[in-house]
Amino acid sequence: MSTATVPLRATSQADRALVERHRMGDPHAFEELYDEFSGMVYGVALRLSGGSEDAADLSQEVFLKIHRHLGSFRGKASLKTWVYQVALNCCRSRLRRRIRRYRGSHLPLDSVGEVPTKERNPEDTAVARSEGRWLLDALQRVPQPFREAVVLRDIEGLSYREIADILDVRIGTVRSRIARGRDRLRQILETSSE
Amino acid sequence: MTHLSIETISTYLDDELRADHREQAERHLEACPACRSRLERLHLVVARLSGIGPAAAPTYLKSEVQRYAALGPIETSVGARYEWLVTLTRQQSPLLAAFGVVLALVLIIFLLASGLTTFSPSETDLIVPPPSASAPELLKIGLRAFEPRDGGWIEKGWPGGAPSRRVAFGSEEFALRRTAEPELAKLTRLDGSVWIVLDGERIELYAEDNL
Repeated sequence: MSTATVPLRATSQADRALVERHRMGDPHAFEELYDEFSGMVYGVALRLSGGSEDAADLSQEVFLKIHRHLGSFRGKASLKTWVYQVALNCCRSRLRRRIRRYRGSHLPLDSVGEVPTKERNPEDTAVARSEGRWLLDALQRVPQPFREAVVLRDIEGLSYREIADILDVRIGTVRSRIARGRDRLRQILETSSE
Repeated sequence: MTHLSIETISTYLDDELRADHREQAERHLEACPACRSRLERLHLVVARLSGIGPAAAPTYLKSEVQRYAALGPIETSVGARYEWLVTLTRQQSPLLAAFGVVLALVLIIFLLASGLTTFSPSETDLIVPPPSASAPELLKIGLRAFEPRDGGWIEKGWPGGAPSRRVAFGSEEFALRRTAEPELAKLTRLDGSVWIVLDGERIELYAEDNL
């Protein structure tokens, strides 16, 4: 279920026109951009942060940054790649702050980049075990670099090349992160279903 | 028998292996139940993730984003203060506008001469230096005013010394403060960091330009 019908690498004529209109002060340009990318940004934020409240906050932060900096977009990558990058950077910043806060409270973290989940009582756990919620919770326990790669590949449906452009790493690194992320997720799911 | 690495299995699943490596992997999978099992278990994980489906942003978010984005350019104190005069001279008779200005000046001079008032700026008045390339006029944001400093802006009335800590514009703390004082959102549009006193604390607000 790829969300990319156009290769991410190309900055299309439509993208350039939209950016130019925004530079010239056309408020509808930003509205169009929001309409095109809001689902994608919210989805990435939701899957990387694990909660709808955080995802909404992050989405707002992402679009305000986009509004502020769209005028300086140079078109070296596609607009979609750039939007993904802004979204990922905001999610990473949020995670760094959260980790600093948890470290300050001396709560243990199993490994770097995991998002500590709140303790649930057994009843809530049973309710939460709907497939989607269970999967998202498990995803939050995958270390952040691997989680990003898995979300971009298996949920966003992007190719290895597209993911490499977004993350600004080599394809070999993408391959490795996806594999380790999937395997870590598999271990978590298999362990929690025992 | 040497098993396939998890990376090979995962890449095989995505059909991203080179042709010769794919053939080798398929030969191994035919002969190795353990690797076939790992492939099937990994395939199950991928299938579950692919079934999650697209997400839709909450409908209220669009108006929130548009509201903050529509704050527009930072107003300058001078422009806002004297806009009424510009409008008057453009829309009304120039003669009438000139008469009004002269009348106002005469009144001020009379009051000063009679000692009934002294013209001293209050705390909220702005002292506007002559604009220059290196010293633009003060910026008024809400009830606060900011003046340029090296590397950014500093709130007028800064108590002195360096900030006691830094807060990022993208942080939750700043988001909370913005809720209480919406005008603070305009600070995100300034270049450089902003030194501001919040709840009696000297704070430096800065942008995490991680684009």
